[in-house]
Amino acid sequence: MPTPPKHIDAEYTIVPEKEHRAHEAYESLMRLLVGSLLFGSEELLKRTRAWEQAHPRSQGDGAAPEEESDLVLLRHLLVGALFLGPGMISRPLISLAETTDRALNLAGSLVNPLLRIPLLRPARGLWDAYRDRVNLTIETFIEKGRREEPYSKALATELLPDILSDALVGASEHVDGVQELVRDQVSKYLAYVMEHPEELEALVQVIGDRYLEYLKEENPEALQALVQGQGMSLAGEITDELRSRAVTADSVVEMFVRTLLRRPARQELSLPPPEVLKQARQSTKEVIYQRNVARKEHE
Amino acid sequence: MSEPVYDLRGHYAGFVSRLTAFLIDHAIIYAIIATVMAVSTYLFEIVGLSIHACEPAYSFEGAACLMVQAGLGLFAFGFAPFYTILFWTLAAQTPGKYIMGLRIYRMNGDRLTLKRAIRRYVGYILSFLAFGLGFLWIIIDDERQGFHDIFADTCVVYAWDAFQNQRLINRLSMKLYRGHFFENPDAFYARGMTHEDAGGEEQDAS
Repeated sequence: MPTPPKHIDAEYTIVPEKEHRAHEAYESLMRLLVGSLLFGSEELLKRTRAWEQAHPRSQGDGAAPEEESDLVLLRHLLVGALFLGPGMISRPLISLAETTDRALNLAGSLVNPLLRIPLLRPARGLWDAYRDRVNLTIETFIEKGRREEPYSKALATELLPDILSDALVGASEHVDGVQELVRDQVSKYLAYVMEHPEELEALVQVIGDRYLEYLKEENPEALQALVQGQGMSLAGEITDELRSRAVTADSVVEMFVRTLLRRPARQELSLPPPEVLKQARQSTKEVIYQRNVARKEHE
Repeated sequence: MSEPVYDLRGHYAGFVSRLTAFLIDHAIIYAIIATVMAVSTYLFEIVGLSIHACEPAYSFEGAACLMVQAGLGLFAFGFAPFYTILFWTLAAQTPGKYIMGLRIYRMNGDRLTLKRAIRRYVGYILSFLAFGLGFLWIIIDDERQGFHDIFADTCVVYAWDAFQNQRLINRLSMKLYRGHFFENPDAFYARGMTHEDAGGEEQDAS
């Protein structure tokens, strides 16, 4: 058997190959189409089987209507042909293929002794090369199909619901009835959620968990930044709260103590000297900048 | 009338803020001292030197044990001033003051030198020895200075955009001083009070 071309790996991997060809628009489109077809047919088959199991065929289903026109009979003929046709066609096709194979084998056994004649050796080489090329092409196709099928299916499973929902949402935006229906459903759901807050909490929990799981798997740096940011902001909030409460308590304590000591109320909180005020109102960054400038000037 | 100032950044810091910073600092100091004591005791016990009981006193082990005890005692007593003076000099604030958004300056706006920081720490001890009156003086003094501040010519100010619960302060001052607090509206604006917060009607009535 000829060896497969180098660009085809022996094992299938869901990660697309990095060669530029894999990212070409044509291949992407084909993957989406093939995947959609596979995904769609699988889903359709699943549903039809489920429906057939839920609705077993009763005897009355096959009963012909009392009056059948020619048009109705033609329709029935076509429907019946659709069901029975493939089976009827496949049998002759299989026997045709078998006959062809036998004929080719016979031809091969007849031609092979002729090709062994030294004079016809170049023709034999050509024949072998042609046969190898055909085999190689077939193997390449099979290998490509083997690799692409699950990947296309995975792609379609992932993308198709999003594409369809986006398309539906886009289309429904311009339809008043749909909008009304959506509004109605949303308000109903909101009312339900207001009555059952525990379900909303559970939903938020589930979505939050999923999002965190996604961040953990796909973007751990973002999760780390998020946790750090939350931690920092929480610490900042606590500090601000502590500080502002302490500042309020400063004034409250003074008021009480002054009342106890029968001292007059503080008319004003005297400001510190302007130099101190200036220093205190400068941000730390400014102070560091000024210090660096002064150091450079000194140097 | 000048534009009202709504934040208290740069104003003298009050007693509660400073006490909170002091408590935070001393929690840190005692945590460090306790850790060092525990770790060193454990390490000495590993090498067979029990520093709880230095016996026999006239042996090499006893002498070493006494020296270790003295060293740890010195560390326990010396760490608090070392920590405080170091941070005052290097950063104009200790970690506790940093958390509370406070800074220490000299009254001329300069930062504390080592000598000034030591002087302030001595003032600290004096304030403590005066039954804590030196610290309580912060509540009474118009510049919110304790004895140690006066002794070292320093002050502690809010180094953040400090704000207070003005509504609570106004209500309380109305109860305690029956409107007397509102005689000088400019002063309230300087403290960060708006005309409405200060109770415009009461002010007119008084």
